[in-house]
Amino acid sequence: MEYIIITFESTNFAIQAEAALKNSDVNVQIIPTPREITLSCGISILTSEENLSKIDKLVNEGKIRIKEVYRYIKDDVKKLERLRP
Amino acid sequence: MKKIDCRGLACPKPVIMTKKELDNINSGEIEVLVDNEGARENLSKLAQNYGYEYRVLEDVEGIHVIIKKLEKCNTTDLKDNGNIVIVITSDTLGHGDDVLGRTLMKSYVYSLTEVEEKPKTIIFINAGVKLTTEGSDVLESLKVLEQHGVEILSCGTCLNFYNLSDKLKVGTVSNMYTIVEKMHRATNTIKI
Repeated sequence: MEYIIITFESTNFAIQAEAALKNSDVNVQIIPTPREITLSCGISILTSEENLSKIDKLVNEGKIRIKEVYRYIKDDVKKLERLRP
Repeated sequence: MKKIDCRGLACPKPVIMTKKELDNINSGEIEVLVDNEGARENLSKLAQNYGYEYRVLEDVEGIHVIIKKLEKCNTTDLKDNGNIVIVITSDTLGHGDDVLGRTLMKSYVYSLTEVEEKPKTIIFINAGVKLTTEGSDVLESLKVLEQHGVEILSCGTCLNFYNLSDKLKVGTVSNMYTIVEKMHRATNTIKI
């Protein structure tokens, strides 16, 4: 399975983004940021690739502030790949 | 033995690179060359966290941290025999801000799906039943746990109190006798 992970500069940005995305009917899940990305206790958003355009739109409208975007492949072996920046 | 040169790399790069290499092998040794105490410390912690043996050598090149990954079966098999029961008594995690508490709870439940060592039972009590019923943000995670054989129980009294009896979306209804028995039989009960 392939997912998208979005990271944030702060916990508050993550919480705001979750609310804004849900308001726009984007299916997202709050997850702890994987240790491979940061060893600190952070919150990220897990979603699927098809939602990226909607997320970009909210970013461009200044409604949410994101830090990085990763592709997360979860099969027998988990793999993370940074897409942006 | 695989060698990685992490000299000149800023934290947490050496740890990330080492973790990646360790994930790629079933067992064996990896030698990481670093140039500062912080990196050495972080790599030692990484090895300890995963229960891997490690040793450190210093020479003119820098600090060599050699981590030995052993085959998994021995430790995880033992742990699987544990009977962990988690009791979730609220829809927030910790005391303080409720918005943060709800976010932390989502993060916590998702983490349960990702860790290898799963609880045997998760019991939802009081406002905890808001997590197993319609409108909950953790239903997907709870369904994943159920598929992995984790028993999901919601307190019937609580469902009734919150008018959620017909809104249960995952697991089954339970009563206090069963809840008490589950807790007493557990080798470890974790109250959230």
